[in-house]
Amino acid sequence: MPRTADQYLSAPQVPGDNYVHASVYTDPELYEEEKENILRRTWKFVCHISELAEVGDYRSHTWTGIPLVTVRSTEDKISTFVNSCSHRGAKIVRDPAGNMKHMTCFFHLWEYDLLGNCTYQTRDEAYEAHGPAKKDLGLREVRTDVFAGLVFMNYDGEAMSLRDYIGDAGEPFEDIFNQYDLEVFHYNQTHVRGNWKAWYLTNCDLYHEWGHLVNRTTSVLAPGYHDRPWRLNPEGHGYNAHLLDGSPFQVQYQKYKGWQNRDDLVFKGLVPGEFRVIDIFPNLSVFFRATCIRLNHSTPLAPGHTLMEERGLGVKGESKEDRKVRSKQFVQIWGPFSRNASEDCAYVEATHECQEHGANPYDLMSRLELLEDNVHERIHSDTYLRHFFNKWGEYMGRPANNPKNFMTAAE
Amino acid sequence: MTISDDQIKNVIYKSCSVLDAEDFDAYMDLYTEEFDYKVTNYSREIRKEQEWMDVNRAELKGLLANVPQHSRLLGSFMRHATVYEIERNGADTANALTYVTIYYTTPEGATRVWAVGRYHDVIDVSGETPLIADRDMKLETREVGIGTHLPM
Repeated sequence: MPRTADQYLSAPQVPGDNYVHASVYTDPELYEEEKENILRRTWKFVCHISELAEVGDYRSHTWTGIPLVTVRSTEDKISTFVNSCSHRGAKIVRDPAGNMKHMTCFFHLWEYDLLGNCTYQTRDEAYEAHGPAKKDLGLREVRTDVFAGLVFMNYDGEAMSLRDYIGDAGEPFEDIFNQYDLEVFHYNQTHVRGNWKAWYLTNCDLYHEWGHLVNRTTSVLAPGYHDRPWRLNPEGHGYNAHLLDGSPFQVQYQKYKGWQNRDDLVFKGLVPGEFRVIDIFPNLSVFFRATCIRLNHSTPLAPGHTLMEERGLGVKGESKEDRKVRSKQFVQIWGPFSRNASEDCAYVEATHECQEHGANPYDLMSRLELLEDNVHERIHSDTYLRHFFNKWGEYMGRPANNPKNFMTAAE
Repeated sequence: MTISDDQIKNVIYKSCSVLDAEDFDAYMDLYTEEFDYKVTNYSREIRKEQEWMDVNRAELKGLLANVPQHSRLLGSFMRHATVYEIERNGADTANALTYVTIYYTTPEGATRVWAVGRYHDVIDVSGETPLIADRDMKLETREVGIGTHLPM
């Protein structure tokens, strides 16, 4: 039956971690705190190593509003710098990608080498007398590391190592990634009117597969679909790679009109049609669909504004024909003209439209479906969503189900 | 009978208008049996040419048949096309270059430019009416909002 306003606004009668308050997606103060407490303290995915194949290759990007550039400084070193000239602060590298011998600010032509040292000041005699000297004007370097070909950065110099951070969540993809020389063949980005967590959690909320025609057709009726457990990692990651008995889950692509099975070009370590998803806190998702690997990452820009990035990985040097097949199968699901990713954008924007001004005060995540072992939860359970927000609460020092009142009480 | 340039232009313009109207049967009738349809662009981010859509007749037919069942972008598209060049390749085919602007109108009636690009078409002119044998929609636009299930 319909609810009154009081009933509608009162907290759901479920355990406290089974729902979150919608302000976690919309509140500007919480967003600023997230930047400080989560986004500047955790490992952020930058790009795939193949995008930085040669010395001087770079990718520019932003994180928590800070322009950055990640560059292959030497054969053995990937570096990230704050992309701002030490002189007047102008953005130095302005293209999204390319190759450079050094970094030159277009404003007054100051120059930096690929290790971030300031190497040239126009008419530098004026600084020799008064300072500061070039040696004191290097770029701000940000900690950078690589795991299985994935380049990450972290503003926090004291944070745990990247390998320790990823932990067992690397198991479903590290070996597969490392046995190939992979490269990015697909990239697209989209500005989504929605919160970064809402985007990421759509990747993690596999219950939403019922919304996609492709998933309803090819997956939910396939053997083993409901028998996959979520595995949770203490750093906030989650993954599902196998059924409880260890066997793989295989999607039946041929059941979608006009599509074929994915029996060829399957990555070693997978079986035809195999599906896996690995979600790395706070917002990187790695997907396998037998022949395709997807890296999905987002950059929060404001509480209701997120830049979503999509990458597809193939095998470097594979034949033109094989690449065509792999690319085609990737964009069927995840490209801007696909059957899946564009629908995810629509879900996130429709949710944000209702949360932005309080039309829906709570986000319910109380589904609990146990597998036969009565321990692990099925992939349709909301266990990873609860896990994510428990971790969010640890970093933020406040519960996600009542973050603003908690703040008031604490004050 | 020789197919005229005007007939070639008309098949290209019709491909826009019937797709605007989502008359998918009429759209498919404008292509040869063995056609290849692609949406491509050059990514400045990965410094590579890439294909965002790549379908043959069976795949496009299946896709269009399924469109009504998909969760999709509401509203409508309007394609504004101008044929810039037609070059004959002997008696049977011609290449056509068409500049295309795609407008998107929301269900509430607001309109904005959704994408710009160029059709690189191969037109089969060997029969009584021209048919599109290959279409490569080269997008200049690299960000298309939440995307779409439809060819452009």
